[in-house]
Amino acid sequence: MQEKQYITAAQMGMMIFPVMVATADLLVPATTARQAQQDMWMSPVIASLVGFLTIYLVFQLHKLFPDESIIQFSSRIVGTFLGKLCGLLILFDFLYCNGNIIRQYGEFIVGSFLLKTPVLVVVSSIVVLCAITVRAGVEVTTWVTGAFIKISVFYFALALGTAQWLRLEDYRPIILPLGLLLVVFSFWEAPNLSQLATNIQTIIGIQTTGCFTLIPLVLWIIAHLRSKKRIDPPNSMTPPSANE
Amino acid sequence: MKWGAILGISLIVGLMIAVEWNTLCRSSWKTRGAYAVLVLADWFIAILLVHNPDLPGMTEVLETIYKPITTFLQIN
Repeated sequence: MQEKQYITAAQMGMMIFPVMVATADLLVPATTARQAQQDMWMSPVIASLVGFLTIYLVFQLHKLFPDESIIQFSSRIVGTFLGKLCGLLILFDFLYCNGNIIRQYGEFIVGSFLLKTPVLVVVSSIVVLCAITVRAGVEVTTWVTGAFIKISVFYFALALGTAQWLRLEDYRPIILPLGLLLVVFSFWEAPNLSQLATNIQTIIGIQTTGCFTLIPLVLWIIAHLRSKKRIDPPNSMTPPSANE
Repeated sequence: MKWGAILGISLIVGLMIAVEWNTLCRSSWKTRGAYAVLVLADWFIAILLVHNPDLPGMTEVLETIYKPITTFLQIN
């Protein structure tokens, strides 16, 4: 990237927290209630273990590869082909989830306020607004904390990630085509509202856990093993059992 | 075929290229290539969706891939 943009850790926390809470409040309770019923109070406690694991993994990977995103360092951990594959899966998850979120907001607004407006108009307006925010940079995105913070952050991650995946010099030129792709995906994913709700249960939960917890876990284990191996040669005089 | 919708999509795609034209002229061939591929994919899928709104897509593929997990967890 040509111009580096900086935000503080506190700003990042302020940006990421509403992103996660927005999903947890809107989508998860319905599925959780159906599965757990009266024991639902226990679910967040168990689920938070996965969240803590994810934060631990992401922080450890950040310490191993500072100033790089998962799209960049995955190629350095598992090689170019598998690394690019990991990056593609993560980017696809951003695209798919963001399409679903945009459609949900669109259906919600059409269902409750703008009763006679087509969903396409609402969805397009949201995406154009977020495109302007993302184009202005992460510093602006951080302060535009509002209803569309989640869409903006996912959109930003998608645009920046795609630029890093293709090794482009700047992410800004591809923001608009990715926005149109988001609009297209939001309609392609589900022909109606019930399919949209089913997608959250049967696809997004599994896919997001896989992309944001399982892939970092595997990457961290491999990076850990490889860094151990790299340190080994100077101590080659010690017997192998000493490492265990 | 709904020609109005197809014309509208083409107009939006044309506008997008016009907006970014100056940036694209200054960019590397890689950025231009990525832009062209993305815009063409958008245009193509959008027209297919106008033609058939129930077009099977990634949802069907992913549902098939995750079928063993959803069956095991009894989600569906």
